[in-house]
Amino acid sequence: MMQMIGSFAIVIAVAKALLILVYYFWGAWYVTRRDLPARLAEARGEEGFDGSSDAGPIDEWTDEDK
Amino acid sequence: MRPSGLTAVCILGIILASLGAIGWCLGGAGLAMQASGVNQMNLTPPPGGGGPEVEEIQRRQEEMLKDLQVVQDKYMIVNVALWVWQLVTVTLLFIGCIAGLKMAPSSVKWLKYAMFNGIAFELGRLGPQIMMQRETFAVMQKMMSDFGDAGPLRLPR
Repeated sequence: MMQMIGSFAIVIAVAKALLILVYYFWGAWYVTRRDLPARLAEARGEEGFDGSSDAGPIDEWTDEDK
Repeated sequence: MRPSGLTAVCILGIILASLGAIGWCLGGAGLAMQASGVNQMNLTPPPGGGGPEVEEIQRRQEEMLKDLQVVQDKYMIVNVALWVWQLVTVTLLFIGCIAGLKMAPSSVKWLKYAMFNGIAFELGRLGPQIMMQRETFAVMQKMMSDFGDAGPLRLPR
């Protein structure tokens, strides 16, 4: 009986560690994806740009602005 | 809009980091008690003494505690090192996940640090944890077999 309880405690500890490791490996895979920085930049751009820039469209810039 | 995968990574990370922070505080308290030599089990005799059988149980429990203390002392340095490393892991996870939720430009870098450090930490602590549990269990099993050898003990009513 004690043997079973001891083995069970070790199995639980290993299972918990494995579950956490699954998260870390998935997270590591996700954050090393090549497209993530671009997607983040795109998301920031979409949220940050409201079209009210003082500079105006680039084709209206003078040579001095450029 | 934030990528949904990033949101999932960050929210799970914050939950994990919060649980890790609680574990870190409890672990610190445990290590402090261990270092100061305070017994975590209360072995005060029942009122009125309890007779020779209770004394025998107490003697065996004290013996078991001494054996457990030997195991804990053996792993003290490893446990302190893992405790400090856990703080680094939890901090990195918090920084990475909060930066990720805010979509900060540095979030990917911090999340990479957090994930790779987390993998190393979990793999690094698995070995000592299993060894310590096995040794602790062996001590408890020894005590239980001692009880078995001595025959059934009757507690006074």
